[in-house]
Amino acid sequence: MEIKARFQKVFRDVFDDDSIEIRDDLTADAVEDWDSLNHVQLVMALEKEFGLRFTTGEIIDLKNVGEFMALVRKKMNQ
Amino acid sequence: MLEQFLETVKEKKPQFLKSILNSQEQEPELFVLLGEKILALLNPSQDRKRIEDLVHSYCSYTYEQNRLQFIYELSGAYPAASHDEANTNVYQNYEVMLHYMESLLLTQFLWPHHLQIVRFFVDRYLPYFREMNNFLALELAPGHGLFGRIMLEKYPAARIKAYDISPISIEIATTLAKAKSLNERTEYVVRDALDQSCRVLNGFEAIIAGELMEHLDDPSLLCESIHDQLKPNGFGFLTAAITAANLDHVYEFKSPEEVREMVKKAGLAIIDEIVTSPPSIKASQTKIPRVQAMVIKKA
Repeated sequence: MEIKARFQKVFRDVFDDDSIEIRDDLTADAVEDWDSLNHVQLVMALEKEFGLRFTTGEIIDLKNVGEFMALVRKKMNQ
Repeated sequence: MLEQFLETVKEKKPQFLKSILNSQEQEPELFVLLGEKILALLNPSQDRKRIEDLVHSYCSYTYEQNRLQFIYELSGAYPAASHDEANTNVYQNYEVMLHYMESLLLTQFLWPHHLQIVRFFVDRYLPYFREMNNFLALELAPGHGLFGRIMLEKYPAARIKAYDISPISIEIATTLAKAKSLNERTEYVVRDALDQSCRVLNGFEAIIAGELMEHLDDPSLLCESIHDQLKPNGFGFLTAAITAANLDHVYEFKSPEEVREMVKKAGLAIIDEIVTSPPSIKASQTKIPRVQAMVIKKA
């Protein structure tokens, strides 16, 4: 499954919302219930999905989902 | 500056805005008053870049705290095994403490449950000193020193002696007191809060021990120390974190009742209390983070 599809699966699961559509410019203000608590759940769910670990520094500066997917691609290629 | 701070969160880190707005909604006046004061202390030159750095610091800390709480839920244990470990990894580490104290100070108005504790301190603890003049307070582990400074601003004749094991905390608290022209009435000393050699029996009209109990291997020793050093007509302010993880939380209180029992066993009476938690709790969470604050006196 490609990265975008896997992101979509995780997002829909964490936010319990099958209508969520992943796009590069997606940010927290466009997703209901994407608050600081769910943000951590989302990150931990993505870490589990991709078998990766993100530092606070890597996560906190991400501007949108596109940058998050790029980060995952970069770490998977390392 | 507060408006700039909020705009920056909204623009750059919107996932952190909801709970901040919650805090603002719960205590609109105190949020603005405390927020402006804290931001003025942390950014005296009102530098735009510094505001962005403070937003970054706050959001990083909030993310880390939430993450630690989830890990604690899964593991069942706090990250720090002992006070010594916390001291080595946190209190003696300059970079870690700078980020910690700066961020923690910001949470005092940005986190709804922390702002409630400040409200409790101001409205339900400080009034006990209305009739006292020229009183001496002991502040144990002041950290960023906020509570002591609030007391000194309210009571112009009061003085504070404060002990903290972290030289970085002492440096930060001293600097912030100086910025508010309070340094002539404060004495900040690098010292273990439980150091028996400097214990003054019945020495203080006020003892403040906020955010300390859960950092100790044996918090009952703190309760005993407060009992010994509080004057018979004195009042103490004590807080405890309950099932709330942090990098340097050591003692896991499981319930408010456990804290009450410990306090009473030390010969202290609880004359007022609040237990509060973050507003956003997930239904799946089994360990609800709470803060318990108490006004205490000798029984």
